[in-house]
Amino acid sequence: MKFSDITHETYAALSANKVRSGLTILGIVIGISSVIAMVSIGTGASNTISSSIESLGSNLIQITPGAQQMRGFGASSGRGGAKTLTNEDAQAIAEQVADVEAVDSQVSSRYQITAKGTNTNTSVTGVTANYSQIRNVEVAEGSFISDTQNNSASKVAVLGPTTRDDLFGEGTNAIGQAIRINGLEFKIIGVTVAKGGTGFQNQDDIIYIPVRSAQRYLSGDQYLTTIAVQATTPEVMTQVQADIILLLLDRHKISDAALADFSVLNQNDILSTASSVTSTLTYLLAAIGGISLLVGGIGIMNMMLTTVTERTREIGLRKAIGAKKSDIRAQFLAEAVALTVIGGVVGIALGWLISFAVNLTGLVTTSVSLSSVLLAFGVSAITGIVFGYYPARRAAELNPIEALRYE
Amino acid sequence: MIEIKDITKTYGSGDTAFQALKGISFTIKDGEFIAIMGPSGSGKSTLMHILGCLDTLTTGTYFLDGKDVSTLTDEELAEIRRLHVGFVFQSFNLLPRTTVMRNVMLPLIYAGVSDEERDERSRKVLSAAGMTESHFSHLSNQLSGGQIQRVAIARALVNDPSHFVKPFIFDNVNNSTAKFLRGDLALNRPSRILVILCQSIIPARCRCNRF
Repeated sequence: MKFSDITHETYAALSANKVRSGLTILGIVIGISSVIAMVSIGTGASNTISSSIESLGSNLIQITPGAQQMRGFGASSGRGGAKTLTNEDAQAIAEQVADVEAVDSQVSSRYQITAKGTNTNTSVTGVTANYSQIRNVEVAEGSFISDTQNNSASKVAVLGPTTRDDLFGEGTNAIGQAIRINGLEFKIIGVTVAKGGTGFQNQDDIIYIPVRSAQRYLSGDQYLTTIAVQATTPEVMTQVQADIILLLLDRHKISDAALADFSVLNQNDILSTASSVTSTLTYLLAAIGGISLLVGGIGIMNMMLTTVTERTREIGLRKAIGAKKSDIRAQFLAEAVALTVIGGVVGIALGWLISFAVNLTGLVTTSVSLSSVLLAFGVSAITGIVFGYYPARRAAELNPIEALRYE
Repeated sequence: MIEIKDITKTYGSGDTAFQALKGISFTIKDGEFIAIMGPSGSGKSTLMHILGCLDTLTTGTYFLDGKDVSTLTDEELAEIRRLHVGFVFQSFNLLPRTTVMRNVMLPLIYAGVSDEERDERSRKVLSAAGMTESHFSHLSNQLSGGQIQRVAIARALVNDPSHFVKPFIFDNVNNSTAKFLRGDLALNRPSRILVILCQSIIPARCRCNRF
């Protein structure tokens, strides 16, 4: 039996009962489109999360003071216990660790800020000039903090756009105006470009001042709350992280790494944690879609079994005039596969539309990947074969005499 | 040439076993026109199924053109049916919602004949069976009873390579069809074997060689 004959027979058989074929196809359409839409939403969410983590900066390693308590009789110094990182630590990392692009030392704390009758409470972060490079901060107006201003502990500040809006009103020019942090007057030299929130904090509600100013006027000591290190390439990050740990353990005279008074966080770790969460989410969504695909497949099997019963006499006749088992099997299998392939194509289109519609809502930037389309199509074809095989086999095994006698 | 020797057919097994054929032997020579007669339940249909290679026999031997058919597998029987046997069924069994042409072509489709040849042979045999050209594209459920018979006969004849013996097996042929067989079809190919089944003597009038 030639391919063109099989397609002709399939078309005739499926169009003989259009409503039933249509409903069966609908089952597959829903299954395939939900797989595509769900996976695209999952991938989109995953991309959104990764990109917002990457917006923190690239190849970033953050060192923060640990909550490590003193062992034995040493008095727990509470918050003071976290004061373990110094300017010298940052200096040493910059000088002694290989493959380090830039190092930024930070002191961060929250203060009440006042300016001309308005006030707000926000995070004040002491940074070096490297901060803008390491954390991808761009300045919209004015300039960022320079090394000179840092070394001379100038009382200058760069505002995040949200803070600027809170203090001076939206869109106003704040450059050159003054704010008071902890009672001390700082002059505004720049406003950063909006970056958007990263979930837990708003990166735009912040004030940057030189780190030495923060240490001298605000915290009053030589300790840092964060050292941010940028590695030269993503490949060396693990090595740089290990080198930093060794260097700091050595500098802090700690022999057991488990007792370290600091912790080193690799951006890749955060990324991989986040992506493992989102990929689990994607699997979950795909599984929900997969279940509807399974239900659609059972619908096909149901229809094909009904068809085989209805057309028993026809099968008997075909066998009597010389159709081989394989001819009958091919014919019924072709019908099942045709149902799923039509359903698959329509389902892919519908899934794409759903994903596009979700995109328009602006909640998640969805992306339909070629692989998910190919996967869905492959699955639909396999569904057709798997769920069509049993009915087709049943048709092929019919005894021609019994089949002809069937009423 | 059909030779059957001592064939029996038993349906079921054990207590419910029913022996439909009890040791039948005969030979049909090429070109003969045979009528098998007998009352209902006498095993005519069973014999026809076996002659047409639709069913296998329980014991005995069946030689078709000198080839032992009783030992063939299902697939090989399908091959024989496709090449050597034409059936016209009691209820004709045309495919519903399918055109006359397509119905007649069906055996050729399974034989893997090319589209052009299929078309040509179907037209020829339909004309020979007395169908007018304008009816070729009608659906099978739009035909009259007589037309259905003609189409069914055309379908049985379409797959007819000249150098093969054809046992045509007709099931319960009525009088008018019997005349039609005599007039138009029976003598087209002298080597062809025709077997018809009937309960009365009427169709036997139509020049059957034996009955």
